[in-house]
Amino acid sequence: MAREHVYGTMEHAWKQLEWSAVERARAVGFACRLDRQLEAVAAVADRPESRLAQRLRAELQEAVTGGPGGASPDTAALFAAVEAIHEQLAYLPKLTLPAGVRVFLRALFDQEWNENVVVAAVSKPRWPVGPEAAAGSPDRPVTVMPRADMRNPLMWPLIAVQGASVAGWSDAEERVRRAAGPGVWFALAEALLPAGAGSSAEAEAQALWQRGRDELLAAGRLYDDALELAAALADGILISAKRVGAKGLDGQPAGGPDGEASGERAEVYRKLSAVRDVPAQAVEILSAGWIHWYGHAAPKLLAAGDWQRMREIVDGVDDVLCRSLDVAAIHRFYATEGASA
Amino acid sequence: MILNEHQILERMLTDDPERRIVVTPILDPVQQFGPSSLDVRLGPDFEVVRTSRLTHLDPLKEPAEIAGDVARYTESTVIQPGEPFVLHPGEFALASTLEFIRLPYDIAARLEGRSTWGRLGLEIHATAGFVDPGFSGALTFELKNAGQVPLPLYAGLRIAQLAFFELSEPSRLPYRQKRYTKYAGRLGTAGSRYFQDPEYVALRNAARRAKSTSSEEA
Repeated sequence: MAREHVYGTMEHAWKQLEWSAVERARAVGFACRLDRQLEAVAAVADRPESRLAQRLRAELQEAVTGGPGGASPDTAALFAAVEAIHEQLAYLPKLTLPAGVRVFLRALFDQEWNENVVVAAVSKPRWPVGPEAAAGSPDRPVTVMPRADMRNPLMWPLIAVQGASVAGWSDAEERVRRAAGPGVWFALAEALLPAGAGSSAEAEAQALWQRGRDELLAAGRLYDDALELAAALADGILISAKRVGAKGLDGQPAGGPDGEASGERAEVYRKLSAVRDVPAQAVEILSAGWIHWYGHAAPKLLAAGDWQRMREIVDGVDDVLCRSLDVAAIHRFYATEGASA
Repeated sequence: MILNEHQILERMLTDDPERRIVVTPILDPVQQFGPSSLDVRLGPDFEVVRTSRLTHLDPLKEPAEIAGDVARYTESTVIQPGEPFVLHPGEFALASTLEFIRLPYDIAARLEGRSTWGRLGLEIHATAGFVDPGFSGALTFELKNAGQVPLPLYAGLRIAQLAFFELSEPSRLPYRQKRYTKYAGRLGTAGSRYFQDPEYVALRNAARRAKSTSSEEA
């Protein structure tokens, strides 16, 4: 069913992706994100580290594309190769964590988030999930993420899961799910990858993923709003805000700042209210991001034969989500503190 | 023809994607719309060049090497809501609009400062205030404090305005479809990529040739 939006038409509300494609897209996406990290390190590092980073980039590209005349390896082998290269980040300079991570955590939990929790990006390629995520203690308030995912907001709710455990919240995953939406189940599922075919880890990952899909499709207003934002994402547009003013054209006159209730100027102000935006919530941005990833970006990524094109697709998704979260936080600040004329 | 507020609004609300001007987010249309312009806001990310270890930028090095130099000598800062970025007198910094902007193929725009900030000495661009039809992304500010006192800048402040111009017919070479574009689609602050200009390929070739000739002669 086609659905009209402010910025475009979403032909299909939710596009189902085969499980094998979910796994493969995570592997290739993670490789692209690791390449981005290595590229940034190579640019700022001294010469020896820079050369190591460049060499690792070449190895990574070959691992994904199979090199000249070669065939791309199967997904399990690809994960193994990418993870081995990720471990090498231990020998390279660390990049600063995006400021958006803390903005995101505050957006999700407001005062509930413990600002003293350390968020560290590490060379270990796996997110700590399950009992591992709950291993922290208030004495050691540390949460970790693989460095490749530093600019991948879709996985950031897993910082919140660890942080919730560190803070001693009971039922951490459920509480994060309430704040971050069904996308947290997708993130948890992807964090379990690679899972051997037929293994209990694979069954668990699939169950988490299906739970995410079911809850998203049943999310009512959240799903509708996320779809609208996902349509904008597919069009390459920032999704920090939702346009709420369009209804104003048919509604009551809004009046101007001088209290003009009628007349030509009041009419102009009434019309201007048609483009008023409200900040999108972090949960809406993330949900739109997952819809876009599985429905649009991942299929494109898997169809792309060219490494540069793969990087563009993954960078495009991460950049627009990071920027949307940052801009939405500023928008929310002014909306909350009351900066209207 | 320069668009008035009604024409800007009409372009923003049209159902026709080929005529639509996209500016998002609009925090407060009453504040932002002027008679023939739309105020835009300061984004949260800044880039400042650290000069203490830099003698000059050599455009004749290999592009990857220059990109490394630029990254090493550039300090990137992202400020939080309510946190200031202080621009001292004489200081230069790159920043970007908070808004994402997309122009249709028959609309160009011009970025200008606001007099409120001009009176305090804030310049928002050095030379590059023109926006091509088909542009998509965040616009870059070239901020300079030409005044006497440090200016605390906050993300979300309305420091500039956009005026829109309608072309007599749509461009057939809009910005995002041009072969050589260095900044298309950028969502945040983008530093100069001057070294990617094709002219430098010729200049590098000539410099290499001159170097090899002089070493042969020696």
